[in-house]
Amino acid sequence: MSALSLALFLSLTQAATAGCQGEKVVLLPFDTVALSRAETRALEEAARRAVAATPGVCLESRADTVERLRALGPGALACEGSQCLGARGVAPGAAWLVRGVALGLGGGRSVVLSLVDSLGWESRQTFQLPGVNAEPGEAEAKSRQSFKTLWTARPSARGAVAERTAGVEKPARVWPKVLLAAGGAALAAGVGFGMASRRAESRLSAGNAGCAGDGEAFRACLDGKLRDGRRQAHTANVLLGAGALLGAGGTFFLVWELP
Amino acid sequence: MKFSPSASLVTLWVFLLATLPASAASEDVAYALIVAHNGGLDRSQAPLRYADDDGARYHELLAPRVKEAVLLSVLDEETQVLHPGLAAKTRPPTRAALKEALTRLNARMAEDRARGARPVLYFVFTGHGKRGAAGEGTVSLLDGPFTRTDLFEGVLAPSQASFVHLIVDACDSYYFVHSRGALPVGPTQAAAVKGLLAMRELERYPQVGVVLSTSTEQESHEWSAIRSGVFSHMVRSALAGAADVNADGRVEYSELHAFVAAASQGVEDVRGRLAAFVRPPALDRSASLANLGARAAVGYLLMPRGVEGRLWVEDDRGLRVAELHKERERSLVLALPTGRGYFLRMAGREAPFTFSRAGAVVDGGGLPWRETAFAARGAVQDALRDKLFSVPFGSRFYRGYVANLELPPVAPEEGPDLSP
Repeated sequence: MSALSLALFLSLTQAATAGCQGEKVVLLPFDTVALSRAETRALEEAARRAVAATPGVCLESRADTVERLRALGPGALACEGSQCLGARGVAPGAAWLVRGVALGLGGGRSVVLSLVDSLGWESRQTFQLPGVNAEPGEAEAKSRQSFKTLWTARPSARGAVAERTAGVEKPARVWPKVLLAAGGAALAAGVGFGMASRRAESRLSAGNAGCAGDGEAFRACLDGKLRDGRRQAHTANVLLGAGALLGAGGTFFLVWELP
Repeated sequence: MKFSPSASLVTLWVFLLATLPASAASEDVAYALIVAHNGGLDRSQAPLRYADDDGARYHELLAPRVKEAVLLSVLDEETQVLHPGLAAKTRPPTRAALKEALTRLNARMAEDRARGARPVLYFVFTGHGKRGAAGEGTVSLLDGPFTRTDLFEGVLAPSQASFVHLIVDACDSYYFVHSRGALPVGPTQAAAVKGLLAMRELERYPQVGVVLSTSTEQESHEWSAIRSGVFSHMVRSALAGAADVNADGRVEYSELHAFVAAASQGVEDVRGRLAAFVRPPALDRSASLANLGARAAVGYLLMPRGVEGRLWVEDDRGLRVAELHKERERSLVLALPTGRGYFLRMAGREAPFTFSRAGAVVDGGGLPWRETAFAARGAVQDALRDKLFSVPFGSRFYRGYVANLELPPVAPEEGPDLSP
């Protein structure tokens, strides 16, 4: 990820709402089963007030959310988890997405709330309300309690990013280091063999290279020293070439995996 | 005497004003009378294995939702083990016991009517059926046959119920309710069924809705993997809430019909193929067979958007209590009896859950899934296992299917409120 995209991501997720200090949260209109649209809307509004009142939350206005959903079309709400927070999702750029299902079952009312982040973390809470004789503000109080549980249980955005980045990149970053280390070792060994070869060459040029005697035995000794020198030179060339390749590869992967 | 149009309008308004509050305030009070018998009508019919199980499971499904549920059945040993305590509440499926139960329920329903409530009766039969030489359908009771004439004269005519939901899962059950017109032959009965809608007896009872299995092969009726008749399994799944296509919490006849059609759509083997005849009460063609919004001693499993595929709920006895093929775009709720453990299952995975109390809601989107395996065997078994519920049931299937039926469609699902 480039520094530019990182900065763009941070600028979108942090304090997207003007004047609000906190993380951007989008609350989608509630889904419903066996409950009228008006009752569902009342439960959604209660949850919206509860979320908006949570410290550190910058909740997108319902008008903005609904406008975007209308533009995207009805199929957009079928998105799942972190997909919804992607660039083409229902909550692009948001740090957190809140979804809810309002239920009118068995003569009572229930709400299932879920909190999702852009990295796939999800948690859910369910609360129930009496169908009749519910206290005024009870829905909001229970929404606040449930959302607080979800909000406090979430991995902190920065911590989670760092943790996951470390978790994912740790095995990937080993290879550049291994390549660089192997390249360095090969280069060092190549230099060593090269120096040995150069020493052998100097000895052969300067004199008898430590060979004694004469005739056939002397020639055989010189041939042996010459072969040793050539082998050392060949090994040095191979090692230097391999070291250069490994070093280049390691450097390439190291640069590639830079955040 | 002259009666002016304005006077008639005033009279109409007075009538509406007088009746609307009363009807709005009327409360549904439901009763269930379930008759289940494994035995056949004669020696040519081998006893069924799971008719009594079906009766017990209809009782489990309906008892928490109704004021009184009566089960007339002789449960076999295995069924008594699976349903401890139920045998003590049952009575034998005889004509005398049926008459006595109907008399008692009718007295209670008359009382309900007197206090302004709206009594509803579920009359369920599972067992053997047969068409007589004269074309009259008959079902089997312990002490002999129970004919269509007995049904109309003994059950429907004296009924005090505002609505009767008649559910019959038996071979040739179609002839148990219908009598006139050309007799359908073979399993392809849709055209014949359509031609017989105008039969006289049922029209005299506009408060009666019918859900009938019209399969003729005994082999198609029972499936050991679910210890149940396949048609009854589908009907119970639908009534549990799986057929609620528009998420309004009500299961109407058209929804049940489309659900059964979708569930058996993929079965190519004629032995496993199911056919159903469904007709809502003429009095209210949008009458509901189940209402999840009504108070009941059940728990609720929510399967939210995103959950999809062939799913079934099995209880801790290993009994499959509901099954469906869910589309991911809609939320769905199943109402299940409380007091036992359940597993929500799909191929290779399961998630355990329980209801802490009646009225509790379990969020299926947050269940912990784990790997599992299941097995079945036999040709028909394989066809049923692989093909039943192989077609997703949702608004797309429903709209297409109901367009070809003479059933009023349900209102489309509203979906989330996108108004400002």
